[in-house]
Amino acid sequence: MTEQEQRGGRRRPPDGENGKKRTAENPNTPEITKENASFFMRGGFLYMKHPKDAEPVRAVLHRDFPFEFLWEYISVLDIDGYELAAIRKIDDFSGEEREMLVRELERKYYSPVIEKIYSVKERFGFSYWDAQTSAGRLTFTLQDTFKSMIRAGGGKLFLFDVDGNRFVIENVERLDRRSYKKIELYL
Amino acid sequence: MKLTNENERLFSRAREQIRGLSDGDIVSVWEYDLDRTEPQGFSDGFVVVTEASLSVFENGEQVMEVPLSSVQEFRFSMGVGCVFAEYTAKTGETVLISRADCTRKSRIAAGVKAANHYLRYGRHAFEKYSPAARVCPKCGRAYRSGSETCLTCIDKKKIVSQLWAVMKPYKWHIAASLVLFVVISAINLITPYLNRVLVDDYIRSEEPVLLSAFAAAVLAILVAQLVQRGLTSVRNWFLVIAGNKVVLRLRGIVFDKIQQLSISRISKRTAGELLNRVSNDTARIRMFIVNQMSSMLEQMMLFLAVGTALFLYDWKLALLIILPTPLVVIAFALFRGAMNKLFRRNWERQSQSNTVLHDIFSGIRVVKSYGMEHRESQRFEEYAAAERESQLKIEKKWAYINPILQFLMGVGEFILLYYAGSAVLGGTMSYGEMSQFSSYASMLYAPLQFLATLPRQIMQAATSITKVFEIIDEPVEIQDAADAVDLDIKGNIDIEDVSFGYDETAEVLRDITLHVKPGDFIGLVGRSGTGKSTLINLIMRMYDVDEGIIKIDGVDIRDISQRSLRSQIGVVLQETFLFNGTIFQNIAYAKQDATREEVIAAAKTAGAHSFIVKLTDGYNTWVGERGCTLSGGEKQRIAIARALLHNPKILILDEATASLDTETEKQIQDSLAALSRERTTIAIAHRLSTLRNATKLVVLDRGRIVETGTHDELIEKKGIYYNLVMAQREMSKMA
Repeated sequence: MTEQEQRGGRRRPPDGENGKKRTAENPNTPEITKENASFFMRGGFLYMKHPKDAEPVRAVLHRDFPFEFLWEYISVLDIDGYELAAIRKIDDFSGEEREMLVRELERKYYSPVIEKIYSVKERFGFSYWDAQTSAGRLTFTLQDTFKSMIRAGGGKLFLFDVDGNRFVIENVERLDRRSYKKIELYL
Repeated sequence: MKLTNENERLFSRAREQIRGLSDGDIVSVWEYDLDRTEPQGFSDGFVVVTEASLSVFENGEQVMEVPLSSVQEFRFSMGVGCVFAEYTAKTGETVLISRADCTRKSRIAAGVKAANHYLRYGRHAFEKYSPAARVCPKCGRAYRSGSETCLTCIDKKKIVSQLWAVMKPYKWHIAASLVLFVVISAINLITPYLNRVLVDDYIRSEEPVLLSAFAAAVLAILVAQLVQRGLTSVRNWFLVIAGNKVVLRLRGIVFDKIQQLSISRISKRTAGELLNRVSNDTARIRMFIVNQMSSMLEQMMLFLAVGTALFLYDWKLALLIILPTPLVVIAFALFRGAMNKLFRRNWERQSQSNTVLHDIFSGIRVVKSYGMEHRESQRFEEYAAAERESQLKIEKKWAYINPILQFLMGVGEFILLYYAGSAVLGGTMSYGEMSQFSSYASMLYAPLQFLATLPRQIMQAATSITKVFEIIDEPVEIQDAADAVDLDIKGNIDIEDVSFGYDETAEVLRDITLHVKPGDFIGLVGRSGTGKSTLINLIMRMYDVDEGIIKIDGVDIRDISQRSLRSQIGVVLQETFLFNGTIFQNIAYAKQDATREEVIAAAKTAGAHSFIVKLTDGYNTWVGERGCTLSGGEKQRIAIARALLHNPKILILDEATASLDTETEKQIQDSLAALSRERTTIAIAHRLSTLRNATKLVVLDRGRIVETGTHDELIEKKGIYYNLVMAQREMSKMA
């Protein structure tokens, strides 16, 4: 379940039974670097080879602080969400492998960057947005606008739409004046 | 297979793509828009699963083709802001099929489900899993979550007719108040006329005036005022009665409806939202009927009456007075937009600081125990400052908007003063006429001001009405079949090939088959999140299964009346809930006619009697939100007593004894074991010793049953259960 869905108060099954990330119970998750682990791609997915495991395992990268640190504090999970290992900094890896991890994270965390806002219309608790983004001109809808936004440091603003899509404004202060005026109310 | 428009489009695209490439009917299709490997790349992707193969096309080119016979299963997974689909080959290898943004989430999840359905059962199910459209077909706006009504496109006539249906029984009250509206407006017009008569015929009369006639004119004004006030009171009385009765009726309807809705429908909304519907929205409707609707009628009638009177009297003068009104209306509309934004922000700031306050007070024990009072004071001050600042902005803006509005509204009166003054000086108009005119003019502006704010008020009321009727009109998902039977349950439960997911994105239970006989004590074991609680929710029919069938004594639970089914199932959950009331009332909740002896007996079996008798007020101790504070274990024991008193044929214990110490737990377990001979018991427990009396253990993992057997059998098997037992033994050794 995405953060947005939780915020939207959607139906939540008991015990987080919908494949949601479960709390890692292992207090001794090994921290990995290029010295003790390696990664490779197979079938379009990332696999990790750790000396402890005989076989490489499918690895899902997960940002522990997705609004603060994009390239630090990365958990390596199995496909059921159990933590296998932890990467302190992406720079603990280098070359092609580092590149692979960066791409894998960017592929999983998809959030078009908003460059210009054409209009924001509020109606019945929804706001309808029309904006120029890194993925082209998009229209999307936020439910309960104030609660569908998170302000991270440095003027960064995350938006979560009704479908679970994420958008990001890199720095609200740097938006053009017209765009800024349209979202000023929510800041 | 009958296809909806969207599915029809996808299928014809699929037929086009796979022409000559693949055999067999189409099983499932979905589109995707993101590049599979390039994080920021896009692609016009299309996946077609036929009875023979899986094909993937990108920008018109085929990029993957796999025989379906080599596919073990399809899998849907969530990224962050995007979704993935993959397949696992029979060799165990997993391969990525597609990546898309979340807008396509429901359709892809449904496509994956339909493909899996075909793999598993050999049946087509694309249409069955296709999600209902989540946007309004008319305006393309998204529906609010849990709703299928578009607030923008809702038929206005429907709102009125729905409201009228509820108001109909009180039509005479409403008719009476309407008649009174007309009478009151007429009286309103008389007063300025009487004033004129008073001024022209008596005060400024050059003829000698009869004092009695003068007194009669003054008295007439007094009487008109008195009658007007009196009638207004009567009218309000009618309206208040009608408004309150309508709302009472509406609240009753909404409340009953909410109780009928399935857990799945209810849990789409928060308790706060439901509370809002039952109390705030209905209250807003009452306000609308009592205040706005009446003011609206009153002001509109006044406007029409005064306007007509003015025009009849002197149309040129009337035009002059009305001349600035468009300006006023436009200015109102302009400023309203700006002010609304400010008010909205202020409202958000207020709500934020209230939330912080609520947060701090709720967690006051934590705050104090960590000595964080100072930091919390600072935090609250920050929010309060933000609120103060936004309030100040409103005041500042209002300080310059208000005089402008007031001035604009006064312009008409200046014109009137000039025009009528000249006429009076010129001798073509009497002083009384001027005073009558000026009264009418001021009476004209009040309705105008009011009418300028009206659209917003109507909008608010219409939103409330729509929201309330949205619940009333909501389909009841879990309904009794027309021929539902009342069954005297013996306790046989047969679960056959059951699959279920809470939403389209994940299957929580898969291919569950389990047979339980009366007197069986089934222990459900497994890690958190493996579907144990879901399984018991399905047995209670809180949700309907997606696949398969659950039978009780050979009857499909969908054919048993819900009342009959649930009245014979007793449930104790880990999170117990005690209603506001005495301990006695709480235990007797499901059996209102229970005797004191029965309640005491149930409490003894549940191990609750011993602590209840220690309380000063015994069974009369008030518990619940404002009552005596009981520990988690004590509450649980009361809940167990409640379930036992109910004497259910099927007893469900979901971590029911988890907050008890092992000693008490053992004691309760033994009493329960004695009782469970005549009933079917299903228990979930993480603490495996809880299940030592179980006749059969069922181990769930990732939504499937992986092991079944007695404790000894499973230990011998050395599987998941064995590992769990060993892990717990380790733990207890450490303790």
